[in-house]
Amino acid sequence: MTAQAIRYASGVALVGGGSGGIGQAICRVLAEGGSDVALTYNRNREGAEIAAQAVRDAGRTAEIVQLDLTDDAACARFVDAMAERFGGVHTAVYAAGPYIDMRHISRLEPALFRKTVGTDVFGCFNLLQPAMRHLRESRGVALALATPAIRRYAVKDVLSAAPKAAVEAVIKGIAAEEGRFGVRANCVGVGVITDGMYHALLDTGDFDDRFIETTKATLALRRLGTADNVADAVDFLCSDKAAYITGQTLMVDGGFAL
Amino acid sequence: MGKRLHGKKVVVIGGTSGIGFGIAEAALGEGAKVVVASSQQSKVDTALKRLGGQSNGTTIDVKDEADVARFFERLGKFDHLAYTAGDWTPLRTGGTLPEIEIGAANAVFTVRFWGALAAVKHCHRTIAPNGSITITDGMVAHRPRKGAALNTAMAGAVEHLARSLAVDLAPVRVNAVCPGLVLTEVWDSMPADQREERLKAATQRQPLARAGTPAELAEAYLYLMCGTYTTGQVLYVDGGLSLV
Repeated sequence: MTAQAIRYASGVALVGGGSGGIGQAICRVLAEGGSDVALTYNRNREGAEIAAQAVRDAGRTAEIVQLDLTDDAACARFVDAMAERFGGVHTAVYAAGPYIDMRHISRLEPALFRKTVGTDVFGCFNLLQPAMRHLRESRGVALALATPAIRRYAVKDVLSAAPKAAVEAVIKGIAAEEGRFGVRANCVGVGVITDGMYHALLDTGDFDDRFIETTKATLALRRLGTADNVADAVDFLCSDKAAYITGQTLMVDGGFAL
Repeated sequence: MGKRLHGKKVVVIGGTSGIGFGIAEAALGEGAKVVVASSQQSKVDTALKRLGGQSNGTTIDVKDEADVARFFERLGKFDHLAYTAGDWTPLRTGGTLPEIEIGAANAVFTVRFWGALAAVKHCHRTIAPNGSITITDGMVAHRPRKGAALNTAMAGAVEHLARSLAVDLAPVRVNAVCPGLVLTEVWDSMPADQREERLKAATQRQPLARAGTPAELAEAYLYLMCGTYTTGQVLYVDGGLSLV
């Protein structure tokens, strides 16, 4: 048995927002690593079922829970209930993210800014904060998805960059404060990938051919990534292979942030 | 799960001890053919005996560009390069600014910076287009110490070399690993009680208050070899030292 499988042997991995394209891939790699997975969705029940099936295909137990991550009391109940049911929480992953409207700041209504930033930042906090006492017990791992736009700003991307900068600060805080209890916390920065929100952004016209070509030209690798690329990084940082890595943000962005 | 480096050829310059040896061991475990290289034949021989399996090794003088070029000519096509070669002498002979002799200062850069650059320069014709290069700096880049200005500058230069080579050499991916305190053989020469005391003092303020191991560092290099959408990154494997 690998070291990774030992850490995953008791307890469960929580995946907040396991129903999206990236969330599904994360659920799958965690299960393939030997972990049971409790995943949440807000509206995308179908996506959650796909994620759960991937977990079961890997021979692990999946639990699906409908949860609005902005509801802090409901998040705390979810975390404690899963800890009770699976005998602990060894990993907590924040993989959710609101749909991002691409706007110049000059044209962005404060109400939309408040709603989008609030959904993302509080969603992350509401999931990870109640998980912390369980992660102390398991000497576990917290992880959140972020964006390379917190290093190199992308025009019209403030609704992603602003909350993810806060998410990164929360993760660094957990790493700094909880390290003495053996808890690690890291971020994965998600570049432009051809999964998840990509198709919705194409449908609305926020992404078009010209945007995609321009984006590719800014990438060192000149190609877009995939949800699997992101999931591989999450898998690495959650596993004991990364036992000495904490407080870091690993960009999986084809070199966008350079 | 399949072995991640099955059928790949991994070259580790500095691979006969410390972090580099850890990378060689881990890459072999993931099914790679491994070539280790370092400055002394005796170290190569010992490392190959310990590694066994599909490993090969040879000496290289990274201070001599022609020797680096010959090394890669002999090597032929390969997939991943990890550069961990380091010399410790200049680290001990730093000195505060008034004592720095500018003419001699380059010694700090010889192995860790110019050696890395020579290796990258001469490997790029034979490295696979979907391959990767990972070079190594150190936390002194971010936590300056009195009398170590040159080391800080050199380590920072290594990081920026990785970032810029990622742009230059794409589609080959180029990244760096920035290790924190790692328990390599360098510490063996110190009496055990003194070593424990030094390690404790050095790591007690870190979130993860211990030294890292070569095996833990090796996993970061392996991720960077396999993570096909990660380039131009500096991965800090430092127990959270950079946070506090």
